[in-house]
Amino acid sequence: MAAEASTSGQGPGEMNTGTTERRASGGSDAAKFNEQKFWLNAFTDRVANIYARSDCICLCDVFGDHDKRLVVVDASQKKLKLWKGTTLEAELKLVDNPVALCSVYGDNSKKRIPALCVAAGPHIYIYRNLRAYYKFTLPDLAFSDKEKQVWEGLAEAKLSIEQACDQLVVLREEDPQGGNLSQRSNQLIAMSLSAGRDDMQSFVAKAKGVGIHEQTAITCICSIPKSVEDEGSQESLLVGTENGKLHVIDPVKNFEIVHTIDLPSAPVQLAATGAINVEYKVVVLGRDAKVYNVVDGQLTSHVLDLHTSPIAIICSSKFMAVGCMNKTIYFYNLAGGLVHNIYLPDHLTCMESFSTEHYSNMITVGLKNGEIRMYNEILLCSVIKLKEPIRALKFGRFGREDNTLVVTTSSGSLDIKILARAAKLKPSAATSKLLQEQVPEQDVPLNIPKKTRVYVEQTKREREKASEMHKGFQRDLCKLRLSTARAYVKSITSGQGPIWSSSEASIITNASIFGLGPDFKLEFTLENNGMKALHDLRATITFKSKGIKLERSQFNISTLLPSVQYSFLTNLRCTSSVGTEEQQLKVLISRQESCVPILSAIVKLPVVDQEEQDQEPFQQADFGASHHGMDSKADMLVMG
Amino acid sequence: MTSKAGPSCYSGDNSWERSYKHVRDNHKIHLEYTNREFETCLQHIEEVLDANEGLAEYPLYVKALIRRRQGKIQESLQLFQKATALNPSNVLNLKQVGRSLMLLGKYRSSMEVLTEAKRMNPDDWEVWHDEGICNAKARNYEKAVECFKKANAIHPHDTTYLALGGVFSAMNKHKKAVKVYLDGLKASPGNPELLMSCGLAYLRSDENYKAFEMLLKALSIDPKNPSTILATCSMIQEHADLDTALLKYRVAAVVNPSSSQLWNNVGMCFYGKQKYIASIACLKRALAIDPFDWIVNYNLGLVHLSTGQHASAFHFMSSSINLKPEYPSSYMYLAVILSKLEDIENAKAAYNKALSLKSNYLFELNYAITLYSFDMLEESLAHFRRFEELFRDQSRDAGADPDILEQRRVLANAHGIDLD
Repeated sequence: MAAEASTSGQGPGEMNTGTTERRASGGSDAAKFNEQKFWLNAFTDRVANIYARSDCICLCDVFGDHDKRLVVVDASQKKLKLWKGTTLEAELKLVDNPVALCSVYGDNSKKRIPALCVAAGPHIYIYRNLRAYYKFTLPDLAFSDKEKQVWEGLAEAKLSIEQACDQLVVLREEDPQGGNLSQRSNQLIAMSLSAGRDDMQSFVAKAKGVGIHEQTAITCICSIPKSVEDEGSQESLLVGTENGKLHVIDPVKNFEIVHTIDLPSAPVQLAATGAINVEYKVVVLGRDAKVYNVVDGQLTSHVLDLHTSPIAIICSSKFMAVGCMNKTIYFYNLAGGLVHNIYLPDHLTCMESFSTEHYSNMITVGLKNGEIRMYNEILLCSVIKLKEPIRALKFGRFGREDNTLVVTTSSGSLDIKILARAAKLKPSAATSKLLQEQVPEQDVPLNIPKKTRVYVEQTKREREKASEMHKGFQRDLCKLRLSTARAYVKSITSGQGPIWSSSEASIITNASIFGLGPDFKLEFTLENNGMKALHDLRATITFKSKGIKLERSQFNISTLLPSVQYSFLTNLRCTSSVGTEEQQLKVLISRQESCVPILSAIVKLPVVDQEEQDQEPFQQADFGASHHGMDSKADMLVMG
Repeated sequence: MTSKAGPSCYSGDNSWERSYKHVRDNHKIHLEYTNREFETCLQHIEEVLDANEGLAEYPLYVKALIRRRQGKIQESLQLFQKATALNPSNVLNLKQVGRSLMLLGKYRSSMEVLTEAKRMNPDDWEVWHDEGICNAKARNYEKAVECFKKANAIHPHDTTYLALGGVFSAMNKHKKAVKVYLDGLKASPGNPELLMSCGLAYLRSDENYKAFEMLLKALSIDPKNPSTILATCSMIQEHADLDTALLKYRVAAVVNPSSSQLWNNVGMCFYGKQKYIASIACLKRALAIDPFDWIVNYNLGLVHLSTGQHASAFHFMSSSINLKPEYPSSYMYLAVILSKLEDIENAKAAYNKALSLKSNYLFELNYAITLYSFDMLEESLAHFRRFEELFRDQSRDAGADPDILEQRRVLANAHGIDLD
C-alpha cells in the first residue's frame, strides 16, 4: 500500500522531467537563434540620469564636424546634455521645461551646421554650435471682441458678475468647437457654478486692467526637407500646438510661420514624409485617439479612429505602423486600410523604425517588461531583455557608427547598442514563430500540494473499512438529526423558542437591542401568523444582573391580530459592569390563564465602556426605583 | 550670445499674464498616461491643478481616467463632470461620463448622456458602441445588436465585434456569434481575443475541429492567456494527450493560479494518468477555491471511487448531486458507490433515479451487475435484457468500449445466456 502511494507521489515529478527534456529540445533552436548577437553592447551607463522620451533625444552633427553627437533634453533637470562617443561632452541649463527636441538644417551656408530646436511652453529655443541663437514664440491666441467687451465691462463695473457669466456662457455656446473662450472666461464660468461670490470678486479684481493675453503650448516638433530629401539639405520645421494647430515654420525667413493647418485635436506626435516644396504628407497622432493626415498643407478627410490612445507612430514608404495602449501595433497600408497587427506580450512604451543597407522597414519596439523587440514588418527577428522598463529608443548614426540604437530606461540609465555588421537578420516566419512562442512559464513545474503520511494511512484504513465507516456515519447522522428534532420540539412546546403554535394561532417573536451603551433600547416584535386573533397576552422581560435598569419590564397585550407586526419598545440602562453570564435578557410571552411562558426571545447586551458610565452617575436614579417591584414579579412569573 | 533678431533672448520673460500654464504640462501628462506611469502622472496633475485652482480641463480628464482604472468610479465620475463644466462642448468628456455611469450600473442615465453626445456628434462609433454595451448589460439584446451594427458601420473595431459576438452568445445564437467573430477576424486578422471567442463559439455550436483550430491559432499569438489555455487543453485532454495538456496548464498556473477550473482539469489529467494522489490533491485545491462547483465534487467522487475510498466518494458524489440534481450520471455513480458500501436499498433507489432521468445502457448494465452481486438474479436478468436492447441499438455504428463488452460477456455467462 505504502509503495503504491509513494510511486504516485513521485508521479508528477516523473512527468516533469519528461516534459522539460522535450521542452529543452524545442527551445534550443530559439535559444541558439537568439544567441546570434545582433546587437553589440557599445556603452552602458547605469547612472546616466536621463529622464527623456524618444521625442527628447536626437542624434545630430551639432558642430558640423561629421561626428554625430547624442543630444538629450531632460525635463526633470531642465538640462540639455551632449555625449560625444562615451563621454559627456557638454551640459547646458535650460530656462523652461523642454517638451521636444529636433535638429534642423536652416541656412544655405557652406558649412552644414544644423540648428538644435528645443520646444518648451510656447517657445522654441534654437541653438547653433551649442550656443543660444534665437527664440521663437508662438503668437498670442486671438479672442473675440465680444469676449473682450465682457471683460472690459466687468473692469468698469458696467456689468455684474452674474451678467458677465451669462454673456460668456452664451458666447461659449455660439461657438460649435467650444474651445474659443479664454481660460480666464472658462474659469469664471466654472467658478460661478461652485465657488463663492467673494472668490469670484477677487478673481475679477485680479484680472482688472489686464488684457486677455493667452498663449498655447507646443506639444511636438519635427523637421521636414524643403525640396530634396538628402542629409544636410535645407529643412523646415513642423510645430504642433496644444490648441490643435500645425504650423510650418521656415528657419531661413526668421522662423516665420509660413502656413498653419487646423487640427481637430491636440497633436501628440508628427511623422512627416516627402518635401515641403514638392509634395509632403504629415501623419498626426491626435490626443483623441485618432490619426489625421495632412497632405500638401491640407487636412484630409481620411481619419483613422483607434480604440485606445496611440503611443507612437512610424511612417515608411510602404506602410504606417501605430502602436497603441492595448499592447497592439496596427499596420496600415498607404491607402489607410488595416493590413495586419502585432500583439505584444506587454505594454508598449516606444517605437523606432530603421533601415540599413541590407534591411529595410525594420521596427524596434520597447516594452514595459524591459524587452526590446525587433520586427521586420510583422516578423519578429530578435528579442533582447533589459532589467527595467524601456523609456526611449533612438536609432541612427552615432559617432562613426552607422547603425546605433540608443536606449534609455525608466531608472535613467543609458544603453548604446550597435547592430553587428555580421548579423544575419533573416526574417522568416518560422523563427518568428519560434521566438513568439517562447514561454518561460512553461518550464515552471506545477505546484501540486503534497499529501502527508497520515493522509495516506487514513486512505488505507478507509479502503479496508469503508462500509463500516459509512454505516457509522449514517447512524450518527440519524442520531444527530433525531436529537435536533427532539430539542426543537421541546423548545417550542416549553416556550423556550421564538415560535409558538397551537391549533388556533401561531406567534413569532424577535427581540433586538439598539445603542452603544450605557443607554440601550430594547425592541421586540410579535406577529400572529395564525387565522384567529389572540387575546390577553403578557410580555415580561427578565434578567439576572443587578446592574441593568429597565424602564418597563412588563407589557399587557390585549389583542394580537393575525398578520400584523406589533413592536414594543423600552429603554434600559446598564449601570455597572455585567458579567458575560448576566448579559442576557429574556423576553417571555405568556397567556393570562397560565404562568408557563409560551415563547421567549433572548438578546445579549453588548459590552459597555465603563468610563462612559461613570461620567453620568446622576441619571441612574431616573427609572431605577420604579421597576424593582416589577422585576421581582417578572422573576416570579418565570418561576411559576 | 548672438541674438540675430526678434525679442531679447532668454531674458526670463515671466509675465504670467501671457498665461499658458493651464495647458503647459498637458502633453507631458498625456505621455505619462499613455506610458502607464500612473503614479508620476497623478503627482504631476496635482501640481498643475494646484497652480490653476483645480480648473484645468485636460489634467482633470486624465485624473478621472486614472481614478477609473484604479476602480474609484464615483470619484472619476465627479472629475469628468468637473471637466465637462469647464468645457461642456467636449464630446470626449461626455463619452467618459457615460462610460463611468455605465460602470456604476446606471444604464439609463448613461444612455441619456450618450444620447446627448450623439446629438453633438452623430457619427461617432464609440457612442454607438457604448450604447450597445449599456443595452447588452441591461439585457436589451435586440437593441444592443442594432447599436453595435451601427457602430461597426461607422468604423469597424475589434471591440465592437467582440461585444456583438458576446451578445449573440448570451442569446444562445452561437452560429451568429461565429459569423460575427469571423467578420471581425477578416478586418483584423490574428486578434487573439477574437480568435479565442470564435473558438469558444464554435465549441458551443459543436464544431469541435474548427474550434480547436481557432484556439490553437489564438494560443500561438498569445501563449499566456489562461482562458485560451483552458479551452484548448480541455480539448487536448479529451483526446487523451495528457502530457501536452499538462505542459500548457503550467503556463496558466503561473498566470492565474487561483482558478478552480484549471486545477480541476489538472486533477483530471493526473486521474487519466492514474496518479490518484496528485489528482486528489489538485481537485481538493479546486474545491477549496470554488466549493460550490458540482463538477469538482463529481470528479472527486470518481477519483475516490477508483482509489477504493468509497465512504469519501459517497460524500463528494452526494454533494455534487445536491448542487446539480439533474445530472443522471451522478446518480449512477452514487449507486455504484452505495453498492460498494453494501447499501443495496439506497443503491437501487439511486439507479432508478438515474434511469428515470435518462435511459442509458451503461446504467442498465451497472444495475444488472449490482443486482447480480447481491443475489437478486431475477431483477438482474430483467435489467440485463434491457441493457441488451439498448446496447444493440446504440453500439451498432460506434465501436463499443472493450470494458463494457467484457462485463457483458461475464454477466451473460453468469445468467447462462448465449449472446450470439
